[in-house]
Amino acid sequence: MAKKAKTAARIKSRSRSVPVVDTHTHIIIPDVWALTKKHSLPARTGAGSDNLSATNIGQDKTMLRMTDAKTRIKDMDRMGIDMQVISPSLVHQESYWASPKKGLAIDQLSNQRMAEYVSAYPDRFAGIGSVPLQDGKLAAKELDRLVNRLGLRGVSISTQVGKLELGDKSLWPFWRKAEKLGVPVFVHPAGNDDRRMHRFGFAFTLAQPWEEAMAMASLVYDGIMDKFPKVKIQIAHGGGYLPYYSGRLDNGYAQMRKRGQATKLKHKFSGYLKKFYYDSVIFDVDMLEFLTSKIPAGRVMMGTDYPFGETRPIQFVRKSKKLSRADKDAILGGTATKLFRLGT
Amino acid sequence: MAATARRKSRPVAIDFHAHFVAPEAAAFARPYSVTAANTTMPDDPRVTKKALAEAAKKWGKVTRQRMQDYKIRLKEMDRTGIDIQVLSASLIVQYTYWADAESSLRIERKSNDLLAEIIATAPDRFVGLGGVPLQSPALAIAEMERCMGHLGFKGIQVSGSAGHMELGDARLRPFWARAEALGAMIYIHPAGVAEQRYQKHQLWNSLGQPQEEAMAMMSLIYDGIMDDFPKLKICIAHGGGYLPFYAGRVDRNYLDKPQMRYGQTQTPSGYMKKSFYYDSCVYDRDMFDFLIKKVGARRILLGSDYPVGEEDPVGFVTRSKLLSAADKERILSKNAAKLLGLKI
Repeated sequence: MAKKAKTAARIKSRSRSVPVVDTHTHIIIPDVWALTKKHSLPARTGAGSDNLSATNIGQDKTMLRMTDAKTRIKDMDRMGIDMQVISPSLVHQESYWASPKKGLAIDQLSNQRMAEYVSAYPDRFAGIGSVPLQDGKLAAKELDRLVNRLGLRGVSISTQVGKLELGDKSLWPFWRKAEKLGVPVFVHPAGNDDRRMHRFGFAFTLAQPWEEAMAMASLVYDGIMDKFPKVKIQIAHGGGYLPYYSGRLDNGYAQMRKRGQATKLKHKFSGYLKKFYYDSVIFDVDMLEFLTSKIPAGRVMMGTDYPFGETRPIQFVRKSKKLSRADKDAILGGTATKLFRLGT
Repeated sequence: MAATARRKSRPVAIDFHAHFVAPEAAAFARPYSVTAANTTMPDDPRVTKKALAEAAKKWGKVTRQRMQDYKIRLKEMDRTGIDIQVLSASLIVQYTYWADAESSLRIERKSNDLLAEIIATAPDRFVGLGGVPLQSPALAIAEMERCMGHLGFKGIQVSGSAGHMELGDARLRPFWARAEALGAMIYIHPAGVAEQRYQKHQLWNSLGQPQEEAMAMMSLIYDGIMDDFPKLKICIAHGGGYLPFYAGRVDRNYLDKPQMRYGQTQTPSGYMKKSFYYDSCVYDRDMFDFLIKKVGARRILLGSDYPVGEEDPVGFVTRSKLLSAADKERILSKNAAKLLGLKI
C-alpha cells in the first residue's frame, strides 16, 4: 500500500502543466441497470457464460467500483489520475432495444443521474451522457439537452442500432447536432452477441475491436466523415482493429473503384484515420507507437476502461521511447482537456 | 530450370498466396458464394447498375484470364519476378463446405485433379495446396492423404472455419493430427462471410477476411490445437489478419485474468511468434514492418493474392528498410522452401 502511494506521489511530482485525464471510464447507474439488465450483453450471451464472468459483475469489488464515488477517487489517486471522463457502461445500460419513447426515458434518467454523480466532485469527474439512438431526431434532441441543460461534456454511443450501422441516414440528425454542438461522441460497443463470440470471452477480446472496425467503416464509407467534417468522434480501445490494419481497406477501396463499386469519398480510407480521436486502451506500447506513426499523437487520449482494463495508464504512455515528452503530455491530458473543455 | 537461370541475377521468389479456379467447382459453388450474397448497391446516385455491370464484366474477364489461362499466368509471374507460385483454389468462388459431404468431396476432388494437371504443365513453376471437405473430418482426411500422396501436393488450404465448426472443434482433431503426421502445410484463407451485415461496401472482403483469420487463430489457440499438435505448419493469409497487429487486448486477457486461460500454455502472442506463419499480403509498408517486429522475418512468406492482390509483391518485401538482405531472402523464398520441402 505504502509503495503504491509512493508511486502515485512520484507520478504527481513529475507533474505536467496539464492535468492527467482518463477518457475511458465507466459507471453503472443502479436505477438504469434495473431497467436494462435483461437486455444487456451479459444477459443475452447467457448468465454463467464466460462473458459474464469476464465482466465480474456482482462479484468482488467491480460493482462497488462501478458505482461508489469515493472508491473511484481512491483508485484514481492510486493511479495518478486527476480527472476521469465518465461514461455510462453501454454494455450494461444500452437502451436501443426499447421503443424510442421508453429509450428516451431510460437515457434521460441516466443523464440526470450522471449529472448528479459528477457534480459531487466537479474537479475530479466530468460526465458524458447517452441518447436513444433508435430515433435519430430524438437522439439529437436529448444530446442538446444533456449538453446545454445538464452540462455533460459529450455523449457515448454504441456501434450499431438494431441492424443499422452508425452511418445510416436515419441517424444523420444526430451527427448534424453533434457537429453543431462541437461535443465529442465516444463510440463504445454495447457488445456483439454473435454465438461464435460466446466462448472464451471472445465477446470482449475479439468482438469489441471488431465492432469498432464496423463503426469506423460505416462512418467513413456511409459518408459521415465527409458530410460532417467537424464532428469529433473518439473510438474506444485505440480505435479497434482498423487503425492498425488499414492497408487492406485502402487496397479494397482502390479495387472497388476499378470495378465501379465505390461510393465517392474525398480520401482513401486511411486518409480518414487522422479525423478520429482514440484512447490508449490497447495494452501494447508497440501498438501505441504504431498508432501515433499513422496519426498525430494529439489524436490519442489516455484511457483505462475503469473499473476494468489498464491499471498503470500513465506508465503505459510514459514507457514509449519513440514519443516525445510533448506528445506524451498531449496523450495524458492535453488533448482531453481541450476536447472535453475541462476546467471550464 | 527457369528458376535456376533466374537465380543467378537475384534471389528466388516463391509466391505463397496465389489462386486458381476450377470452373466446374465454381459453377457448383456459385449460388452459395459470398459474391452471390453480395448484391448491395453503393448508395451513391452516381453509381449506376449499368456502369456496375460493365465494370464487373470487364474486370471479370481480366480475372478469369489471369486465373485460367496458364500462359498469361506464367507471363504475369515473369513480369512480377515470381519463380514459383504456390497454388490454392479461390475459396471466394469455389467454397464447398456448405454442401453435403459427398458432393463436397466430389467437387474438391475435381478441383484437386485440375490442380495436379496445372502443376504438370510447369512443374518447376507451380506447387499445389489441395482442398478438402472440411465439414466432414473423415472425408477431409482421406482427401488430404490423396493430395499429399498420389497428387504430390505440399499441403492443404482450409477456410477460416469448417462451416458449423470452428477450426479448433474437437471433431476436427483427427484432421489436425493427420496433417501434423503428414507434414502437410496448412494455409488458412477464409471463403468470405455471406452475412448481410458484411455486404455493404464489400466489407466482407476488407473487414471480414481479417476478422475470420482472427477467429481461426483464436480457436486454434484456445481449443488447444497449437499445444497438442506442436509440429503443425499453419500459415494465415493476409499477414494473419487483425490478431498480430492488435495482440495487446488478447495478451492482456491471458496475463491479467488467469481464469480466462483455455487450452493454452502461453500468451496468444507467444503462439503468434512461435507457432504460426503469415503471408506478406498486407498492402501497407508500416504494417509489414510492424509484423516483422512482432513475429520475426522467419515467420513471413511472400504472398501476392494473385490475380487480384499486390501488384509488385517482390518490391513490397525488398523495399523494407527494416530487413537485412538475409531476412529479405527468407521472406522471398527460404521460409517457404523449407516449409514446403522445395529445393531452390
